[in-house]
Amino acid sequence: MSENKKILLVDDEADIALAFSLGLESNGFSVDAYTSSIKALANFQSDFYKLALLDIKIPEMDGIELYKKIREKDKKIKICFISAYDVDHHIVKEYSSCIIKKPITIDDLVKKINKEMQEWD
Amino acid sequence: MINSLLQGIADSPRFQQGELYGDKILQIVKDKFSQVNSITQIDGLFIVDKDNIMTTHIVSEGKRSFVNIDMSFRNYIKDTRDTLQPVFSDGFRGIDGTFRIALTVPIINSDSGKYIGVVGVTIPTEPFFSLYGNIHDVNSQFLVVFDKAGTILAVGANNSLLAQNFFKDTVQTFVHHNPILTNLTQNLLQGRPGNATYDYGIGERFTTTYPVLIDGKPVYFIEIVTPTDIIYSEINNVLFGEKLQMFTLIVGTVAAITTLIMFLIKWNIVLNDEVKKRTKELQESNKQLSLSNEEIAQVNEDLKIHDKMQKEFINVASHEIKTPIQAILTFSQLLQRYPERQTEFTPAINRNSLRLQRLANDILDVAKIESRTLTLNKEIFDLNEAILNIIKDYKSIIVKENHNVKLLFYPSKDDLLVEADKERIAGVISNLISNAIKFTKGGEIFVSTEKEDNNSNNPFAFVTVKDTGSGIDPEISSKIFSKFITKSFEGLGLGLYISKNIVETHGGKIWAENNNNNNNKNGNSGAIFYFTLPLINDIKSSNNTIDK
Repeated sequence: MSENKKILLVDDEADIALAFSLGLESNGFSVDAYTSSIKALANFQSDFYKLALLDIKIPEMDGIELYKKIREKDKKIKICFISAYDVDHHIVKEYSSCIIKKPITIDDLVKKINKEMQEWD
Repeated sequence: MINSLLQGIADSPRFQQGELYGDKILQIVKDKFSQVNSITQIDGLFIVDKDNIMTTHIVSEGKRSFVNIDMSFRNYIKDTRDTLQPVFSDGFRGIDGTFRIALTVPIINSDSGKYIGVVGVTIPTEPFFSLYGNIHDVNSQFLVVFDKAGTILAVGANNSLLAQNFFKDTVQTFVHHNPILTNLTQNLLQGRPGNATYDYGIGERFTTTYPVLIDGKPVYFIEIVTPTDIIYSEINNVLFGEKLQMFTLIVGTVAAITTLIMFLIKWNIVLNDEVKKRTKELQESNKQLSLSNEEIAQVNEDLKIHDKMQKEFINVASHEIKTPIQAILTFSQLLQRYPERQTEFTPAINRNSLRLQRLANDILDVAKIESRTLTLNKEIFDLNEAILNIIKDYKSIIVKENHNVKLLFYPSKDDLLVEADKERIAGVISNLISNAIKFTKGGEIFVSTEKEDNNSNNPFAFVTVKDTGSGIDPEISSKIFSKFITKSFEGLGLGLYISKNIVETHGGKIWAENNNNNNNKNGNSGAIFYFTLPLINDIKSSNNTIDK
C-alpha cells in the first residue's frame, strides 16, 4: 500500500498558502491549498487526506469551526492548527494537540507533519 | 387713760384730805381738764362731794357750769358712791341737749377708806365714739354704740336715733322690728358677741357685735354695721382684680402659647426648610454617587474593553508581523531550492517585504504622532491630480488582485491647490481607498472632490470616498479614528488614526458615516469618509510639526 501523503492546507494568506504548498510538495507531499475555509469544506472528501493544516483566524469560518466540520466527515484525519496569532492553547488543545506557530521553516514544518503522521500510523 | 388721770386726781393729797374746792383745787382741775382734752374731747370735769353736791366744775367754752348743784339725780354719781368703783355711765342728755356719757372715779381716803366724793368727766358721745369709727355715713361701714340699757350712744344711721333705746318703738320702727338685728342686739347687751346679715328695708347689712369690757365687765356695746353691697363691691373688686389677674394671666398665657406656637411653626418651617435642603443635598449626593458609580462602572467597562483591545492588538500585531515574515522565510527557502523559479518567488518576497515596511512605517508614524515629532514636507500641488494618480494605481491593483469592485473618480471642476505634504496626503487617500476595497466585496467605490468656499475667504477642498460595502460596524463606529480599531483580518488598525492626525495637522477635518440612503443588495449601506483640506489661499503658515 502506497503511503498517503495528501495534505489539506487552509490559510487565508495567499502567499502563505502558496509558499507552504510549494515547500511541502518539494518534500514529497501532495497538497490541496485553499484561502477560503468555505471552499475547502465544500471540496472536502473524507478518507482522502492524511492531514489537514488549518490556519486559525480565517474570515467567514475560522479554523476551529472548520476543524469541527471536517471531523464530522472524517474521524481519521490528523488535524494541525497553524497560526501567526498568539494562540490560546487552552482553547485549541481541546481539539488538537498539534499546534504549529508561524513563522516556521519548511524543514521544521515537514518534521512536525511527519511526526504527526507517524503517530497516527 | 382718762380713768388713770381721774384716779390721779382722786389720789392727789388735797383730794385725799377732803379738799374739793377752792383756788388750788380749781387750778388742779383745770390742768387736768386740759390734759384730758388732749386725749379726747370732754366738755366737763367735775368734783362732787360725798353729799352729791358739785363742788368744782370746769366746762368747755360756752358750756354752763353747775357748781353747788345736787347731782344725786345722776345715776353715775349714785353708782360710783355705791360701788366705790369707777363708773362708765349710760348715756344721758344734758340740759343743753348734748347726749353724753360720764366717766367717774370715787375719791376714797387711802388710809381710812372713807368715801370723800367723786371726780368725773362728761363726754359728748358723738365726737367720742367717732374716734373709733364712722358714725355718720350709713352708706359705708359704721358704728352703733349702746350703753347697758340699750340706749344708742352713737349711730351712723340716723341722728334722730341717738339717745333712743333700741328696744323702744322709735328704733324698732326704724329697723322694722327686724328680728335678726333685735336678737343680735339682745345677745350683745347680754355680753355675747356675734354677727348676722339682715335687711330691714334699706339694703342688706352685715353686722358684727362686740361688748367693750372694762375690768372684765361690759360697759358699752358696739355694733359694726357694714352694707353688704360694700362687701360685695369689695368682693367684686377683689374678684375683678382676681379676674383681671386671671385675664391677664390667661392673656399672658395665651400670648406665651401663641408665641410658642408661632415659634414652633417658625421653627418647624425652618426645620422643614432645613430637612428639604438636606434631603436635596442627600439626593444630590446620591445622584452624584450614582453618577460616580456609573462613571466607575463605565471606566471599569472601558478598562475591560481596553484590556481586551490590548490583547487583541498584541494578537493582531503578532499576526501582522509574523505573516509576511513567514512568507519571506518560506519563499526565500524555496528560492534556494528552486533558483530557476526566481521570477515566481521574488515578487512574493518583495510584496511581503513591503507589507512589513508598511507595518513598520505605521508603527513609527504613530510613535512620531504621539511624541509630536512627525514632520511634514509641504509643497503646493493639485489635489485632484494627486488623487487621480492614486486612483490609477488602485485600478491596477484591483485588476491585478482580481477585486470585484469598480473604482470611480469625480474630480471638481476647479483645481484644488493645496500646500501640503503630498506623500502624507496620498497616504490618507490610499488608506481610505484600500479600506473601501477591503470592505467592498463586489460593488463600487466613488471618490469625489469639491471646492467649498461658503462665500468666505477660507475655501477648502472637500474629499469624499464612498463605497457600497459592509459599512462601518456599529461596535467601532464611535472610535473608528482611534488606534488599534479594526474589523479587518489584516492590518493593525492604525491607518485611520494616522490619517486623522495628518489631516488635522494640515488644518482639515476628517469624519465618517454609514450611507443609510443606499442599502445595497446585501443589506449593507456602505461607508462614506470625508475629509477637508484648506486650499492654497488659506494657507497662513508652514508649521510643519504636529503640535497639538
